[in-house]
Amino acid sequence: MMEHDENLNAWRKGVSADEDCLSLEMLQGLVEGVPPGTPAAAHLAGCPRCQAELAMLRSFELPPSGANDQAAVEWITARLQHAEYVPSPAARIPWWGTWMTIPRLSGAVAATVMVGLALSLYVSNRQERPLFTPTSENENMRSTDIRLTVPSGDLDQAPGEFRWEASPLAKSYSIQLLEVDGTEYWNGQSAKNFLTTSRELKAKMHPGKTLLWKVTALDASGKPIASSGRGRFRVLATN
Amino acid sequence: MAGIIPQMGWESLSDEELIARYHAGAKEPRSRECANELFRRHHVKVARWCLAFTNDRESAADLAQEICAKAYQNLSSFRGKSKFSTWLFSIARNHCLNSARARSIVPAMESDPLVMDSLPDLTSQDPSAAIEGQQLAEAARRLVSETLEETERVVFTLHFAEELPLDVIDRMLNLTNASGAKAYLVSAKRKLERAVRIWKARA
Repeated sequence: MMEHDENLNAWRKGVSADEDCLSLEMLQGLVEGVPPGTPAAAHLAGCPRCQAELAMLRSFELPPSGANDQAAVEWITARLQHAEYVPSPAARIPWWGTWMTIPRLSGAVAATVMVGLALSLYVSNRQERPLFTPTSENENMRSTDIRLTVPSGDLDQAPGEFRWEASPLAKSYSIQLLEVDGTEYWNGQSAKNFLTTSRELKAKMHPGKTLLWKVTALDASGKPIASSGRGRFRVLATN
Repeated sequence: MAGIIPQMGWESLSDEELIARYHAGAKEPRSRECANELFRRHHVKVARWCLAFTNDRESAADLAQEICAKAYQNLSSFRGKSKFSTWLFSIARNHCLNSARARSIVPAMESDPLVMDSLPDLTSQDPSAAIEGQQLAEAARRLVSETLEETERVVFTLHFAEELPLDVIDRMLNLTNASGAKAYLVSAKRKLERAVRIWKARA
């Protein structure tokens, strides 16, 4: 069994990424045509993983083939056109927002709000009531609700675990590892406020590569209720 | 007040120009419209990619929407080191692979005994001739590179390194032969068995 695993791992590792593999930017250059004889072209010739990555990149640029695919793709793109992932300007400006474009009126509104706030604070303190009463779990998600503990900064070796401060209402946590440009690199889940780093995950933490990480607390239904800011760490390159 | 760029004029702008205008007016309504136009141009690519992964338009639409949302959220950090479509590809690729693994859409590779149980054995029974894991991996890489044809190499790598199921590889690479990726994998396995025998005899 061990020999079987060892054999399987050797084949897998043989066709997986290593530190010499080309970046997507370099692969994009190869799509556009890089003259043979360059170091990038030489690496590509002997690297099954970069060839597969290049094939995927080319595939991404291909148009749909076949009538069925064409129809399905049109249906999906129609859904995307109406999706709300890019907020529409009109939808994002509330009715009272237009008042704020009138300088004198916005000043008056701001002054009224300030007086109102001061009054309400005064009354609240007098009555010894809490200033903020949560109305529901989901309304209180803030990006800094969860404080990340480890890992952080430059490390001599890949971290053995990820740890953060527990969120009282969380049933589970989603952990994301991100590239420095914010692209998701890996994700996982944990029922506790830590995650032990698997061997596979450690293998993704290439020496010298800066990674960001983020935790989102989820309720019993899997809805996000709190999240952390982004932590940053790097496993130092070995000499 | 009229906008600086008439909406019709956007079609003549390149992706790079749209991104530059987005950054210049970050968070302004006009910049969001630039982002809308930018994403609209690439919806088809994302949709096709997601369809290749799921083979189901409803799930593909959900995945595509998640990818576009993620890309939009990170658009302010995109600095144009690559083409926009390459950057979008990196997000789509990672998101689909991660989602597939997290939701177990991708069956475990061990579930395909045809391929998994019969991969040529690189290990040695003789302890004195045993070589380290890293050397085995290097040998595997060299054998795959030198023995297989391009499509065989790509299918082999996508299946073993990226853990993509064969039907996803079929759709992703538009393989139109009768048995699709499976045929390439079987052919690759046969060639590698022969190459491993020769490699072991020389060792």
